[in-house]
Parts: sequence; structure tokens; C-alpha cells
Amino acid sequence: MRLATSDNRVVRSDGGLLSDLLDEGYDFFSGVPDSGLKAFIADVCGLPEGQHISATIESEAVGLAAGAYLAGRRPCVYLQNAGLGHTINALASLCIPYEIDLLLVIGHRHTLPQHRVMGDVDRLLLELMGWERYLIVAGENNED
Amino acid sequence: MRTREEAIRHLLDRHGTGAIYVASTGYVARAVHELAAPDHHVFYMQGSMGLAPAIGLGMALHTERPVVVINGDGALLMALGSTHTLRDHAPDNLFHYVLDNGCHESVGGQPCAPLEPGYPGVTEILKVQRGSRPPRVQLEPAANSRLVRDVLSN
Repeated sequence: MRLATSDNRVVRSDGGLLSDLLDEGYDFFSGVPDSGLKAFIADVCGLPEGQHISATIESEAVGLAAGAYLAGRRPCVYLQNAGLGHTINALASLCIPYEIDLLLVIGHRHTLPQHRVMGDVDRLLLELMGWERYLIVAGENNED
Repeated sequence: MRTREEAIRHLLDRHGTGAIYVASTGYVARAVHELAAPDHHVFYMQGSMGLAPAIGLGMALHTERPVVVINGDGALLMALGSTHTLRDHAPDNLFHYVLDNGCHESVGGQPCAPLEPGYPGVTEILKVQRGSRPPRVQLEPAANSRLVRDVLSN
């Protein structure tokens, strides 16, 4: 995986990310698009039917991933950090108590006023909840 | 009009013990827990209101077993977008039932918006009476998860 820093939860580019995740055994993907994840999502959309479902909202993506996990899959949910708020209850009341494991791939936005608050706290929210399986993609094209 | 218990019994009989059930949070999960036989396999939601159809679809895409979602009207309304996701992606082994009592009964009976006659991605809406209060249960969520994962992985 393309590590930008010593912190292995932040990467600078989503190029090649899908093949890295497939190599790690992730086999079901759901989420809501983000411009910072364009390359990754383009790759995900090329997966065979049944390995990828585009969700209407991030909480639904977590539900889809949870169902896939319960059926023996290793799921990944992608989103922009603006949608992280929609996942909080699903993580807190479903994934954590039911021990449902999934990876969050989060496009990080921070520059514009409407992104600044979540840009400041996205990682803190996850750390506060004790959710460790996430990857922040903090590229240069995240504000389109 | 049927009671909630009669409707649930009807669904458990219709789909039998070969299916996996997803019981939505609140009185639905509590009533299913009271009525299911030991050989019915059920994922009992105790939170994440609204996500039962999504969880059911995530399961149904990866198993040949019938997956039977027993949802409530308030929970359906909370995630109406999921009706379109099910419309577009649900395989034939996914069934999505909605028990419609017109209210949020487990938190005090406050009315919710009346449903339309039908929705995409919904197999059937079953109108049910209010008034019963299924026994409270506290299940160990992680044990429930492991049980469902074992059933679906074999």
C-alpha cells in the first residue's frame, strides 16, 4: 500500500488501492462516491456483479457490508468524510457490539468551510469509538 | 387485522428453518425471539434501526439460503433509499416483509407517517395490531453474529 507517512492509516493516493485490498482478502465493497476516491471507485465498479453495491447512504453501505460479513465475506466500505456521520450509529450499535469487522476507506476533505469541522474530527471520532480498521485517503484532488 | 405475533408466526411457517431471518430492532426482534423455534436461524438486531434490508441484502448476495427480513414501518421509513437498492440488486432469495402497526411501539407508541400501499424492494406489507408487548430479551450480540456466520459459511 502507498504509505505517505509512518502512519499506516493515511495514504496520499488511491491509485492501485483496490488491487492492494483484493490482495489482502477484501472481497465485497459498498459505499457512496467521493472525488478523492475516483480511481479506486472506478476500479471497484469493474468488479463482477455481487462484489460491489453502490449504496444510497453511508449507513446503508455499512449494513450491506455487515450482511456480507455475516455471510463469511471480508467487506470494505468507501465514503467521503462528510458521510462518516451517517455511519456512526451503524458502527456503534451494529458493528462494534456484534463484532462485525469491515474496513472504512475514507476520502478526506478539509479545505472548504463545509468540510472543515469533519476534516478536523474524522479520525478523532473513529479513535474515540475504538474503530481501528480505517484508511484515510488524503490526496490533492479531494475538494472537487 | 392480525396481531404482530400471528404475522411473525405466518412468516416463520412460510419460510421454515432453511432460511436466515433478520429481525429489525425493537418489538419485532423481541417478538421473533419469543416465537422462533430453536432451529430457526435469526439475526436479532438490537440497534442500527433501518438497516435490516441492507443487512439482508448483504447476506443474500453471498448465500443460497432464503434470507427473510422482518422490518417495521418506522424502520422502513428511516431508510427508504434502501428500497431502491433492493429493487436494483436483490437476488431471488431475498424476502423483505414490513410489519405495519403505524407507530414506534417499543418507544411509546408515537405515530409514524402512514405507509404507501407498496414500495420497491418490499415483498409484502402486513398490517398488524398494536397492543402486545413482547418480553424483553437481552441477547449477547457477538454470540448471535457468530451463530449466523457459522450457519451462512457452511
